[in-house]
Amino acid sequence: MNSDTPTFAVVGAVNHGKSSVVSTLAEDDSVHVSAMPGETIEAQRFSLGDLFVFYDTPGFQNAPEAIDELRGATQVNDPLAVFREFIARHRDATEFDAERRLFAPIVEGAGVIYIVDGSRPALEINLAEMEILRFTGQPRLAIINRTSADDHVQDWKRRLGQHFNAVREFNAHAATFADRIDLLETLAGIEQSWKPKLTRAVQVLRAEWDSRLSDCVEIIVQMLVHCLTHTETQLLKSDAERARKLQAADLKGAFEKWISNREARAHRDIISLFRHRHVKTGASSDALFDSGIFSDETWRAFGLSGGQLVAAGAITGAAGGVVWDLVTAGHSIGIPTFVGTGIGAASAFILGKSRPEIDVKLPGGFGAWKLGGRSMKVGPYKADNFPWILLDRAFGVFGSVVNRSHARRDQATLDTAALQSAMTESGIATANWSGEERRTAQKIFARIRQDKITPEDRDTLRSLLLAKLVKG
Amino acid sequence: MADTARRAAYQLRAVSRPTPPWKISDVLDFEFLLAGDDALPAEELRERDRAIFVEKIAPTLSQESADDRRAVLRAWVAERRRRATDELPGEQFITGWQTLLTLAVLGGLLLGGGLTMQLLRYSGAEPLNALVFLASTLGPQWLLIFAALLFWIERRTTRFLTDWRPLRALLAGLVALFGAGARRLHGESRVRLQAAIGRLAGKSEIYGSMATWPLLVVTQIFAVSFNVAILAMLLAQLPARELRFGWQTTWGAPEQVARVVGVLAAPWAWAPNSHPSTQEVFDTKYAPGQAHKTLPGAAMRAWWPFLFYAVACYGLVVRVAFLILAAVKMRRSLAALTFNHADANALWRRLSGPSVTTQPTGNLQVPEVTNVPPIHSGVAGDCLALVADEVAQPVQEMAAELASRFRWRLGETLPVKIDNRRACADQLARLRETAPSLAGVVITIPAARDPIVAIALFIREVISAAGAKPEVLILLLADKSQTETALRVKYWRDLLAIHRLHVGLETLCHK
Repeated sequence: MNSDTPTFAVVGAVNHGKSSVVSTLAEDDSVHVSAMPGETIEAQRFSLGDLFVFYDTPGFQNAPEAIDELRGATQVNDPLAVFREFIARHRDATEFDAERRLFAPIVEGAGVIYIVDGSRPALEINLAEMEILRFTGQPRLAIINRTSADDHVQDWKRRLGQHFNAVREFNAHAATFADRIDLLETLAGIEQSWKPKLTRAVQVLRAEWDSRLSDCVEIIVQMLVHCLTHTETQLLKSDAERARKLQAADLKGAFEKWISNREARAHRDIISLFRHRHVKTGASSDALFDSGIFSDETWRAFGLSGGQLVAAGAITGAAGGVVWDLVTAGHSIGIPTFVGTGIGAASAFILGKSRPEIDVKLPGGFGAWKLGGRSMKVGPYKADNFPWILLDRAFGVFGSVVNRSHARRDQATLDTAALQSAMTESGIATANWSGEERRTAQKIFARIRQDKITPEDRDTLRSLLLAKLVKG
Repeated sequence: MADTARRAAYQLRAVSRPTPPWKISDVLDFEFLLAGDDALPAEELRERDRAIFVEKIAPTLSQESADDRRAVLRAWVAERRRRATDELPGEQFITGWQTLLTLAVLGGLLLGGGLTMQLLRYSGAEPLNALVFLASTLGPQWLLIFAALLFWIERRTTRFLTDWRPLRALLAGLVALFGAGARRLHGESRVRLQAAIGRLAGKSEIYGSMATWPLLVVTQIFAVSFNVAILAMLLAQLPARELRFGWQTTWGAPEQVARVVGVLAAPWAWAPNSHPSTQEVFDTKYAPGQAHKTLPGAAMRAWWPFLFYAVACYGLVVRVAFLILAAVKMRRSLAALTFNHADANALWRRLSGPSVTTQPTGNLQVPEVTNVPPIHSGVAGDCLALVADEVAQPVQEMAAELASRFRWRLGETLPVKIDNRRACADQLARLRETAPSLAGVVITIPAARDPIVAIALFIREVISAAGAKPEVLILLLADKSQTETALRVKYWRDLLAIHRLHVGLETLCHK
């Protein structure tokens, strides 16, 4: 064990949530956690580089008998020597198997993090555990974790205060990033020699968190750009009307599938960024119209409201009109801009929150002249609400994982309801954005669709989204 | 079709007679069915078993056999077997046992026949050596018997080799290996495996001797077949050829050999041609390479009846005697089974006790049972309760439960620290003192407590202090949802199995 590296043995009674706390602190949902008492039987090491190390240990199994043999630690200069002798003496004794393993990191110099379940009453056996840990003379922090609604926290606090340098409440199943940082800062305070490393660890974790949010923003921006500009093109296979319709339907299906897969990839990347293995994206390619991006349910649940869409439609229409005004060098005296604004607003008002059909540009007539006569094309999807829905769903995924504790072992599937709930709870739904923020974003979406997005636009969009994620 | 008929016969075998004796297959099914019941809720089990008793067992029992635990449990096995949809281990055991016996007979016949053929192969140069024949056919058998005898005597005298149990050491090694492997598993899988190993070891402690005798039966059947084959092969040679035996050895002079032959033949001295005469022994001594034609033919022919009698007496008869002994011992060990281990006690209570249910109000509901012969628990009497000091349940409520469910009258109640056996010295001393007069000892533990080693050690101390007479029972006090209680009960059962604590486990749900 590197003596410079702050090392902590997470100890406690059986089934009081030690592994959950370690899982949350180490952001590692591979730690085995279960409701079964005695899940952990070997000390497991978790580290953040050389900044700190946690040991998840087995729970105390026989503290009342162990304490009789460890009382001598209070009368010697090196209390850990008494613990070392205990380990050596009981090398083959099954009745102290757990104690031997949980003392192992402590005798090597680890600090003690004692976990208790604040929803269960403190028993005499727990007092024996506390005393044993006091005998070690090592820096000690007690954490009150709660696994159910029952409340014995005050009683625990009173008892723990007599044996530990600090006592903190920490709900491993609901802890946020801020809670983790707060706990590390407390740890830094219980042993002065560890303070520099732990302070640095806090800085590293904060920087890493910021970087993670930036990466998340980048994932969302990339997805938006790809989804708003994607097209599917195919050469016409037959001139027969029926064959053309069938090919058009296939092409439309391929477009929808591509969008759906691209969105799912972004969602998976966000989940993976926050190191969760027990969260799955809900939409499969088979369920596009049941709960995926193109389902009516999705279009009702996410994106802007009717009124917000009218304003957004006006901006999009105006953007098209401005282009025409520029082409005519101002000779059209702003009429196209005015008309475009009206048309955009009117179409948004008529369509409301319903999902507009995806157009397939078939060869023939004007389309044939534009596309060279033999190609069929789908996309980009022009629906005003489309980018907002993509954004809201991405926020839903973010909200689902950003504050999800790594101690949780329930499998979460992000279907429409789960995404909507997470998005609402995080408070960053696009419907809640200010008018200014929406206008800025809408203009950028319009430029993305026209393939005219500039580096400045990207930066503006990134800043806007990052501000939202930080808030979430 | 044949399988179905065999199944039906197997399922109905026990019900065809009022109280058939227990067989190994019945014991296997009994334990298998009990183990399967662990997964079912206590209330469901109680209702099912009480119904089996009232509807199926009671009508077939006489007044005397209603109190006969063996008879009642045997009838329960028969009824459960009748209801089983899958093949039970008892049935598989019968098939396996019959196959094993057949293989033992065939193996013995083949080995004995083959060996005799080899020994009687006649090169023509020298006569057949009678002493080699005896040494080859009886020698190994008697060496094994002597070794077993010495081992048996040693176990009962010097106990020098008490700890030398190679088979047990091998099994213990395998268990340790499994145990070490189990540590690599996580959570439920690990505990399931460790509990399974513990339960297996627990069963071997209960039925251990019962497993020895079938093994001896098989080996003796093999040995009997081996000797029968030797004798048959010897007789089969007679019509076809003349068996000319001589002897040669550096071990003794002719007069010594003649004396040994005479002593060996003492048990069948009354039989015709019981052994070669002293003169014939002298006449049939040959030197290596000496042709049999140089020896008198009549003297050489005088050996084979002696060899036949020797194998029959020192081989076949001894093995038949061992076989009978093993069969009798096997039957007696089955007859001696008392079925008073924890699981059997729990079943007995379910069968014999009234169907008790605890209503949401906490009132006990004891339904009236009519037309059922009164069945009395053989363990009715006083009990002592060791109550975990954090339990706040009123003693009266517990006393009522113990009386109605276990027919135990609650006498003394001692508060204990269930996770600190050293702090319970006074209570354990009191238990030691009163145990001979008790029917039961109840350790009351809140179901919410986590099963840990410290509590297992305390339970072990209680078992030791209680001694053989009273039944030790863990009473888990639960007040949560049934699902959670069932899960807690499972954790506790696993702890008891892993630590090989043979005690009963019951739950008591209260408000």
